[in-house]
Amino acid sequence: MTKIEVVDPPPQPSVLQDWKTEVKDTPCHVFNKRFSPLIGMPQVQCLTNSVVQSSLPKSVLDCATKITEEEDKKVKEAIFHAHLLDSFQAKLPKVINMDRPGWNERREYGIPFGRKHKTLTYQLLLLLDQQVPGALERQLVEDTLTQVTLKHSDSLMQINHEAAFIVSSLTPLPQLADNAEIKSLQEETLPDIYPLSPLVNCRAFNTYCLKDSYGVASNNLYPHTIFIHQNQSRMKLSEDQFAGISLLHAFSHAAAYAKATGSIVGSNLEKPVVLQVVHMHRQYFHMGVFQLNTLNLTGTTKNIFWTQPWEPLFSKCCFQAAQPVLEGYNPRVFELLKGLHAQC
Amino acid sequence: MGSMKVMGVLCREFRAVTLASRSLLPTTVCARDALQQVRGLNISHINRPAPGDHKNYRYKVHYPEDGQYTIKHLKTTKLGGRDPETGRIIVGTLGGGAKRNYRWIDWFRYGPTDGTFLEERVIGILYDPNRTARIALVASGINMRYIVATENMKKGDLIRTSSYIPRITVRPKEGDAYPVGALPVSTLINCVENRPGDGARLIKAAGTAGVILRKMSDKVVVQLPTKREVALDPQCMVTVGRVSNIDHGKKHVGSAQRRRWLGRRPASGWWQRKDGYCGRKIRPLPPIKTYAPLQPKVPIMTLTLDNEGPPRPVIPSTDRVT
Repeated sequence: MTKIEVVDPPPQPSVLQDWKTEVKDTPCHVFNKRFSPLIGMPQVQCLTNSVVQSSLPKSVLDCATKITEEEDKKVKEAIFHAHLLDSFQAKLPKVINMDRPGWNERREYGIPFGRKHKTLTYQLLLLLDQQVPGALERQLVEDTLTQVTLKHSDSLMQINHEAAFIVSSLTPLPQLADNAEIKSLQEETLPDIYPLSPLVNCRAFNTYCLKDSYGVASNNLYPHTIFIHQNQSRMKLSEDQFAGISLLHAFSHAAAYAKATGSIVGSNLEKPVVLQVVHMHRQYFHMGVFQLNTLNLTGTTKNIFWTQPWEPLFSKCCFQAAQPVLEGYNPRVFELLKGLHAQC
Repeated sequence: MGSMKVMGVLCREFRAVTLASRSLLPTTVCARDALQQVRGLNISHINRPAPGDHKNYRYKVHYPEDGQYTIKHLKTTKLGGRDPETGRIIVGTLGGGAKRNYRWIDWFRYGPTDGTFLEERVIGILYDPNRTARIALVASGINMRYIVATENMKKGDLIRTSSYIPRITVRPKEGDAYPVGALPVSTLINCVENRPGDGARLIKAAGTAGVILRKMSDKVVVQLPTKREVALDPQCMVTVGRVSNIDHGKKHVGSAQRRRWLGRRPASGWWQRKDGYCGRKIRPLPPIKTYAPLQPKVPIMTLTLDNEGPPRPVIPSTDRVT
């Protein structure tokens, strides 16, 4: 008789042993992936003390050059592989048709959204690594948890975010806005959200864990790009709220990294932390570059977020008459990703 | 027990007395009216639930365990016309229909009493399956709540609440909440409190509005949508304007099936239109109704006899509607 060795399955990445929640005296507003800003970007700006610029920085746009036909073909192949040509079968969530309430649609089996996003991002990163020299030295971490606790006026707030991928590099991203520009932005006023507070739609609870942690546990790596995936078929967020969530994710990762490794004088950072964020849902890509200058969320020094409206990668990708069909392909998305990936 | 001494003082004749009271301290003096005596088997009148007593026999709301206000939709269980305590059918025409989640409406719109205002922003006007009116999600600071929406309320509006009664009446603006004594005569109002501190109870249905008719030294007379007049304490909070969804009354249910989806079972076909029995009655208005101020709840002390009484518990008869 052969001996069968029973091995425990590897631990789930989202469970951390010493992160026990305890009941504390002061309530804390915990922001997690289910938080949606009630009024979109203005609320997140007030929350993170950031100024939003309406386009990506010049260095990124300069590197976002036109792609050749070969690269185009490879990107389209990557889209097919992620969305259609995958033999993975899982029960998909129920499809609710608002025109036929109460009607139970047939349950479909197919590729879940989390897997589609992961495959697409991974394939695009492989293509980008071939384009950009020096990108092969960067490290990639999957499914990370980041937690950072900060003070906002008199309240305690904690941001608890997941990132699908974090690309880290051996050299930090260069500071985009120099000290003179940061000083000139001190006079800028944040958008007025009277009578709401920036912490609205986030309840304060007394049970939380006061541990700060950045997704990548290494002192030699600097954050480069974080990829965030919205893994639901139906997203109830408007474009403004979607952009606000990208900013919040960028802020939480930058703040967690700064608290873990950077030197903080008072609340201002000696060296600002710069990182890039790519927020995806289905075919929509929202890209941004964030520079963290200060952790004082009510002070005059502001953080800066460069972003542009989201871009769809395609409009339709499905099987039609047993043939994979891609309609409305937008090459600009890969160009911008190339621009972001080329920064070092 | 300490409380037994008090009982001994009041009820010396009874030999075996069981005390069932949770809210009494050993030193509390019991009010005379707080004693409920159920004597003998001849029970001539019992306060039993009836269809017209304005209680909710449609559904029971599962409020959160900690009792904290929340805007999350709360689950309900349908009662189908039954009394939640006895389980007997009180209203026979209620039952079935689509599931409804309960949106916890905040009926208590109070503001500062020093002349400043509580300003709230309307985040959105939403549908509520549990009422004919629409509801508005409003937020101020970190607090969000649902209130009954008024006719012209829209997303992005700023609404004010104040509990201060100035010497000169306030200029009424739709959606704002003021004490009834602060508003001028002939203002349209809704979500009216009967007694100060009790929460809005009157004029909440779609399209309805009351009118402030006249002001007396210590009371304000308001005309309800049924043309009945009511004298209120000037401190009672009201909202200015008509309730939303004004076209609700003009719509027809449409079919018997739709009536079932709305949770209504078939009713008797006995009502005859033109025979004069059920028709419109021309009567003088009833006298102006005045509400006594809120009384603090007196704890009820129940005394039971173990030795005397019927051998089996007596179930009073009810008129069951089948």
